[in-house]
Formats: sequence, C-alpha cells, structure tokens
Amino acid sequence: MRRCGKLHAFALLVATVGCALGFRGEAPFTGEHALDTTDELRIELPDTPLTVLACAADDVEACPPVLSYDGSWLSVAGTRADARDQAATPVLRFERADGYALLRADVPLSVVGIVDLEMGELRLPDDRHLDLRTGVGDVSVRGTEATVIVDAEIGDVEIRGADEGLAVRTGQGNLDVQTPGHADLGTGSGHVEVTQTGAPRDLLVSTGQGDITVTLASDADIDLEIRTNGRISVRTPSITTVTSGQFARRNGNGSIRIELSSPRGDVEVRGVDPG
Amino acid sequence: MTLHWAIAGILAQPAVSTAVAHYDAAPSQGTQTGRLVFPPDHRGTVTVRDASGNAVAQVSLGRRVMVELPAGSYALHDADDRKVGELEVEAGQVQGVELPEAWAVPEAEHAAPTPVETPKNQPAVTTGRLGPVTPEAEREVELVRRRRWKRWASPLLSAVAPGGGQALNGQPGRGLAVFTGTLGMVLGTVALWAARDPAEGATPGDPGRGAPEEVTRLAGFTGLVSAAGLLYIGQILDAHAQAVDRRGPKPWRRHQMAFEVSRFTTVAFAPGQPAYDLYSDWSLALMGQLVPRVTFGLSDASIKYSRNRQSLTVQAGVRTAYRFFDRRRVWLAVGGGALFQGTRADDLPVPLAEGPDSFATESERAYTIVPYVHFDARLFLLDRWSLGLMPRVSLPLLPRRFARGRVLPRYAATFELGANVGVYF
Repeated sequence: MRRCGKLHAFALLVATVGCALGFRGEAPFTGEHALDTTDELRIELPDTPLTVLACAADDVEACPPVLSYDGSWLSVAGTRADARDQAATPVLRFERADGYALLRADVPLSVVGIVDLEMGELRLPDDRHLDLRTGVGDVSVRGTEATVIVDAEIGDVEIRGADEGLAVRTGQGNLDVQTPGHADLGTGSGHVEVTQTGAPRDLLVSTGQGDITVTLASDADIDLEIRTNGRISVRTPSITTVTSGQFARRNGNGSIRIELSSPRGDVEVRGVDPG
Repeated sequence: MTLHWAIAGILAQPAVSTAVAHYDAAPSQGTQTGRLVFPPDHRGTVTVRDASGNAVAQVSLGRRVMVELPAGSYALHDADDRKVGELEVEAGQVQGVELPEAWAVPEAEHAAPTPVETPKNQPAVTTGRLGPVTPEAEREVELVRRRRWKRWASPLLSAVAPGGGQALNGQPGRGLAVFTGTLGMVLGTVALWAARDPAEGATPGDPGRGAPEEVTRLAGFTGLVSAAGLLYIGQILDAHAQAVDRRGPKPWRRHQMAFEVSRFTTVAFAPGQPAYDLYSDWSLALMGQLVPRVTFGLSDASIKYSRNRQSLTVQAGVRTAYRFFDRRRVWLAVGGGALFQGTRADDLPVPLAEGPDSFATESERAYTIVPYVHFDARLFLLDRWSLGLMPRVSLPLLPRRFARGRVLPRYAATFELGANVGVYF
C-alpha cells in the first residue's frame, strides 16, 4: 500500500480541481477447478487482461483436466484497513452444469467501482471449447484445439490455435490470428492480421478502421470478396491485382468463402507461398 | 428631443404639484429601482399607481419622459382614473411603456405638430422632483427605443455563436474576445479528451501513463470543461445585460429562492489502471433565503445510472450557507451540508446450478451520507443570474457514487471544485 500520488501531483490537484486522499490495497488469489465433465468453459470477467495457455489434453500427467489461474484484486480505500478488507471482498466463482462451466466474478455492490481485477495466466487442456468475455483487456489464447470465442469491449486479441473454429469481436483493438480453423473476426477499430496455418477455411474479417492483412492457405476454390475505400492488393498463386473500392474473384468451385471489409484501410491478401 | 427626467421616489418637497397626496414606497438609498420610458407620440395624462393604489407619478404625454420607480407592480390610469394597463418594474431595468393606440398622435399631426398641452417651461411629470437632463439618461432612453428586440436576439445569437450577441450589441471587440476564448477552451478540451488512452490497463504489466502526466491531463480537461461552460453561459447573460442596460447588475439580495445547477469534479485515485480518474457530479439545488444572508435548502439533487450492475443512484442533500460579503456584483459565502445517496443494483444473472457456492442473485441496495463544508464565490452578470465557484471538502461515510459508475471509497477525504449557475426569485 502506498499513499495516493505524489506531493507535486497533489499540489497541482488542490490548486486546480481537487483530489481524494486514501490508500491502495491488493489481495492475491489462486484458483483450481476440475474440468472432468466439462466440454465448454465460459470465462466472463470485468475489465482485465485474459491470457489463456492450453496444454495437450492427451498428456494427462503433464496436463490434468483442471482450470487453474492466479491473479489479484486491487482496491482503493480511505483507510489502510479498508484497503485490505475491500481487496479481499470480491471473489471468482466457478459453476458447472451439464458439460458447461462458467467462471465469473462476484463483486458486491459495497465494493463495485473501488476494486479492480488483474488476472494472471489461465491454464487448461486444449480440447475444451472456450468463450472469453471481458471489458477492457487484451486477450491472448495459445494452444487451444477446440473452438474459441472472444468478446471484448477494448483490447488487442492474439490467437494461436483454435483449430476447430474462431470468432472474435472487440470494440477497439488489433487482431493477430494464426489459426487452421475457420474464423469470423471483427473489430470496431484496429488492424487485423490473419494467417491460415492449416487447410483452406472460410474467413470473414471486418474492421471499422484499420488495415487487413491475410495470408491464405490456398487460393484454389475460393470465393473472394473485398470491400474497402483504401488500397486492395492481392498476390496469390492464381490472383494478382492491385485496385481499390471492391474486388471479387471466384476460383474453382468457390467453396471457401473469404470476405474482407474495411471502410477505411488497406487490404492485402497473399498466399502462404506467394512464389 | 426634449427629455424630462423624474425621480418619483424623492418627494420630500413636491416641487410642482400636489396631485400625489401620499407616497408609501419612497426609495431610500440602496433601494432597487427601475425606469419607465413613456413614448413621445401619444397624448393625454397618465397616472401611475402602485400596488396599494397610491398615485406615485402623473405624466403628461407629448414628449419622451423617463420615470424612476421602486421595483414592483404598477397600474396605469387615464385622466378619468380608469385603469388602462399594468406593468412590472424590475430593478435595474429600463423599459418602454406601451400605451393604448387610441392615444397615439395621428400621422398628420406629426407632420404639423400641435402645441403640447404642457407648457414647455413646465415639467412633463407633475409628480416628483425633476432632475436635469443628463446625457447618460438621454442615451438610455435611446437605448430603450433602439434595442428592445435585441434583448432576446443578442443572447440567442450568443447561444448559437459565442460572442455574436456582443457584436450585435455594438461591441465587436468584446464579441471577438468571447469567441476566441470559447473556441480556445473548446479546442483545448477536445485535445485533452483525445489524448486519453481508452485501452489503458488493457495490456498485462503495462504500467500505464505516469501519474503526473495523467493527473495533469485530467485536471486540465475538467478545468477547461468548467471554464468553457461558465464562459458560454456567462456570455449569453452578458449579451442580454448589455442589450438591456449597460449599467452593472444589482444582485437580488432580497430573493426568497435560488435555483442552481452545479457540476462538482475531482481528480482522484482509482483501482488498477488507469491509476487516476475523473469523478464528476451534476446536481440541482433549490435554496431559500430564510433571513437576510442565510440560505438553506435542498441541494445536490441528481440521478446517476451505471452500466456496472445496472445500478441506479438517487442523490439529494441539504445545505446551508452564510453570505458574509456582498458588494456590487460579487457575493462570498461559507457553509456546509450533507448529501445522501441511495443505490439499487439489478439482480445478478441466474446461477448455473443451485448450491452453496452459487451467486446471491437478488438486487442489492446501498446508502451513504457525505457531509461537507464549502466556500461559495458568485459573480452576478444580471440582477437575478450568477455564475459561481464552490470548492468544498467532503468526507463520504460510505462509498460515494459519481457519474459514469465512478466510486470513491468511504473515509476518503475529498477536495472538490464546483461550478454553478444560479437564478434568483
């Protein structure tokens, strides 16, 4: 715990618009919950970064079927004792029913607004479907083979894996995705970079403001549609173009749908092996 | 142009006529008075009677006449003592008197004026002591004639384009200064708002912006918001004041009620990142003046909604103050009060399964009391309108909720700066 701010900051505050005097508190925590009967896990937390690291589920010794995590609750208070007590008041609750589990925060009204959650790393087997929801916070998921859904208000999103499919929505933030699965990605404002690391899959990308860079697994059998007021650059084994506005091309049977949309921003599409 | 200037209130020795037998409301020094201007293009005699029916002035029409009277309600009576109109005299205001059309001098007579009934060496106002025709008074009469429509056009124009009303009033330099100041403050406010980092705290381990930098940004932002707001409202009031009467305002000391809109702000610590945040609170107050200089009333009334737990906070308080200084257009006061808050948060989502570890899903309620002491400085731009600054020190006895879901913990001594607009009745 430490006093609120520094002397010069207080002097400035008092001279201009005011300040409040008090203390900060912190309460670290850890958690571990069995996922034996859980196929899908939703993690729904207030503003906090979420970092998920998935391990190989088939190696039970090294990767037990549990969700484990750590983190801390931070608080502000008028007294030192209050700072300590209020940081310890909120808890994370784990609920489970019929193959579905939910991790969320229980923040009593008495401490709403004066506590903040800082999550550490979350670890779980890679075959559990994930649904991650947070307010302001970057989201990083690595190693998951099951499907992944990410819904954040503000924050960058980084995905490595999500072999069975991926959906991402963030109000503001960059998206950095490398996945062998089909993907539906959207950000209100931010750049998007996607690399298909497996077989060709459907890919839908939209950003309200920002560039899109896509590396396709293959351009055979794709139904490509690009809309942007910026520059469009496509360089794959069978398509090479540079244009703007709108571009559409159908190759083969067109069974792989690729839709890229950015009202303001450049769009670049390339193949895994452009040569 | 012939101008007759009458001060109806000073009648120690009626110099001209005894038409007014009694005068109850003789204005003493410091009494709030207003002025009536009778137009020159009407004929006849008008008697002005106060609310008690006492004749306070008798005016022979036919020339432009100005009469100064204590603020209050008056009735106009014709030569047969029939009431022909009513009017309200406001302190510090100059207003033209509208008379029946039938009394107007025909256009033909304008071309060939007939002799005025009242001899030129006689005063037009037969009641009251006549003073000399001062250039200032003559200018004021001209002002009334020219500027009647500007009383509302000027503030309206200033509301749309800051400084426009001043320019319309023939004060382009003043208008330019207001426009430049308002524009600068708005641009500064936007720049400081844009300098925020909405993603601060999103990245793990990111220490965020340094405390001095963020505190300075927030302090500058809220200071400019308050200053720009006060300047904007102030220049609207000023446009009206300048259009009506360029004399300084006479604050309404005898008001019974005052209605105030206030914005209190403070920059204070916050949990996590960002480590500092802006806490602001809009509120209304209805203050009564119980005895001269002492006010008491309902204050800090507001309603706040927060997306966090869908909570609704209702706030109100009581406040009292003693005005220890009121010279010219400045009032200073000290006082204190307490605000009360009640908050209701919606039910939490239903738990997946019932059990000992399940959520408590019912709605929650919370209450708080925040006592405070304050200093109050007000500047009057019109007789009944003021702008003010109100720094105060408060101590929440339980967590206090601000707008946008911000909360300050209990026992966190808080220094706030309030800016307010007041209107007096």
